[in-house]
Amino acid sequence: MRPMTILESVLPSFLAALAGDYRVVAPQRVGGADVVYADWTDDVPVDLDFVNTVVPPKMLFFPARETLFHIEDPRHATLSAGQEAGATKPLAIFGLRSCDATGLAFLEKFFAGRGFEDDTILARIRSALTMTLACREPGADCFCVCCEAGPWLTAGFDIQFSDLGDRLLADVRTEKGEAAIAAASSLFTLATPEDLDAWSRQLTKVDATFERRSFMAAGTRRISLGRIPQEKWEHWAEDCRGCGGCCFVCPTCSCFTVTDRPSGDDAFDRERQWDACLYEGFTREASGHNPRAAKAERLKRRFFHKMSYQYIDVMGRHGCVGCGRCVATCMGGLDISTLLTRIHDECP
Amino acid sequence: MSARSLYLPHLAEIARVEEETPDTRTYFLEANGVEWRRAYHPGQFVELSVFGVGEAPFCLAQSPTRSDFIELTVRRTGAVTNRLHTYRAGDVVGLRGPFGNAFPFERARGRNLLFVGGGIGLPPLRSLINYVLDHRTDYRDVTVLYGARTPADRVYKNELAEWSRSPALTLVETVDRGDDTWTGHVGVVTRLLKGMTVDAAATLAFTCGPPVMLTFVVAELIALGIAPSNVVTTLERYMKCGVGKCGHCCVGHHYICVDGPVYNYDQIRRLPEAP
Repeated sequence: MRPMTILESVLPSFLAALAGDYRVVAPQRVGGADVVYADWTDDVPVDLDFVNTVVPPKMLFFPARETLFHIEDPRHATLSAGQEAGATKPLAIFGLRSCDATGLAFLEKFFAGRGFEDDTILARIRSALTMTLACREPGADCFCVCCEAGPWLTAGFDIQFSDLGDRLLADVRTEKGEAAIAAASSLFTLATPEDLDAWSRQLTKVDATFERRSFMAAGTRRISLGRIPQEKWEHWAEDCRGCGGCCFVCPTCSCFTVTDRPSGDDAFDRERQWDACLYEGFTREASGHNPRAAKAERLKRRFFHKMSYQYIDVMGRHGCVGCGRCVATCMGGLDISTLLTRIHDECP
Repeated sequence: MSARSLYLPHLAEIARVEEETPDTRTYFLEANGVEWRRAYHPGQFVELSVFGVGEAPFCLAQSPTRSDFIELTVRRTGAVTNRLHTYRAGDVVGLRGPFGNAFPFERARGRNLLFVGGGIGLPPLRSLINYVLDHRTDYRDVTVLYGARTPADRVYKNELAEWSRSPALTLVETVDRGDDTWTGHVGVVTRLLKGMTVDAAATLAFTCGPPVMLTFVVAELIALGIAPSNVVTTLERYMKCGVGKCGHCCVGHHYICVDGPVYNYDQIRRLPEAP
């Protein structure tokens, strides 16, 4: 489909048209600078100028906590469904940032990998209509441009919107995206040569405003080859509070734990919850033995998982999309951007 | 609920419980509804649910060629196993699996097999030992060395007695501390290896046991001339999902639950977080 445009003033009508087939989610300002993805309703303005949401949209596909199934009478075990797959409408997510769309594609590959498909999560991702919003200017912590994850994309979305001022340009790449536009075709017009010009100029300009840093490749090389002295890890790890925040705000972090939580008289919910590799108990065994008891080992583990060639070989890319959330979250300066810079500067 | 959910266990009723040692029992699970009950490989494991407490991984302790039950040998250690030890015949647990790779039983064909087990490390080896005994002509000499802390800590006492009488294999046992009835070797299992004569090039060694034992046994096997790639063991890690998703069992870029748990020592040495 050739690029289309839609007036910003009628964007709510487009989202309303999608609401029949989809659960529509869009970025909304909830107070202060905080923007979150929330269910869209007509009376809340869609925020087009946000830098990034506090928590990545992975939570819509891989919730922080969800019931896998219910258990009654544990010794004799009657099990019943948690959430019925397909019981809710597929998601239409508007205003996905390029970094987060890249993160979502990463999660899809991960949850389909190693010979086992996590059907629930994959169904949510694959049924979703992804409408990304190309970035116009970088946030203070953004480094997607170093991570092949933005500020705009050439693939990995259904529709990519670019803000041209009073109108949005829609770059449509999939049948799902075409169907969504067709359902509200009166709101869209074919982009004019002037629109396309403005679009092209914007993308070029944006590329130039995002700061390019070269530490990703150097970090990957040194981490993969084990070239970072142990005492460096130990020194850096002194500043890790073990809060797990970096993992929870990361668009590609996927570790979880499973617990049986009491839900009534002799009844339990088996729940999946996000977990973090920086928690001391993450690898502690029933015997008390913990192969990663030291904080330095856990920090090293996180960076190996995110950045090493060994994982790039499996996943096709490294595990950082440059969204900058860990930069904003980590109080110890152990986020990907800062620590890779230190690896670059301190571990030649 | 979707039958394909990765996390939904099969239900299995406990048919029988056998006391192995003061803290270890073998559970015989009715597995009529479990389509893979004879279609797993020695070395694979299951996730066992004790509902209301949680799930934990256990090796399939019997050869798929034997028994109508899924057999799991469980030491009382953490929350799941403590609760399980209160369970009796008729109680129901959950099973997911079979997971993980398997012992290289094809590569073992035509070779001498040397098994070195310590304590609760015998159950995974036993699934392969019985598999080998059921395909005995495919293999050459079979030797089993088994060490336990005390005579009471030996698992599968009846089976050990059978093996000791069997011409199909050579069993040598030792205990760290003997008692009045013990007439066998006393000392760590590594001592049985010292001075052994093996046809190193024709031998494949399998060893499972506590980490400190493995360190010494592996060194001794390599000192006997057995190539590291012919020394096979299993890596143990805290695990939740068994299907390469939850992330707990990663060592380097390996998910032990999917890429392991069986490794040879050459592979282990090359892991970035070599144990």
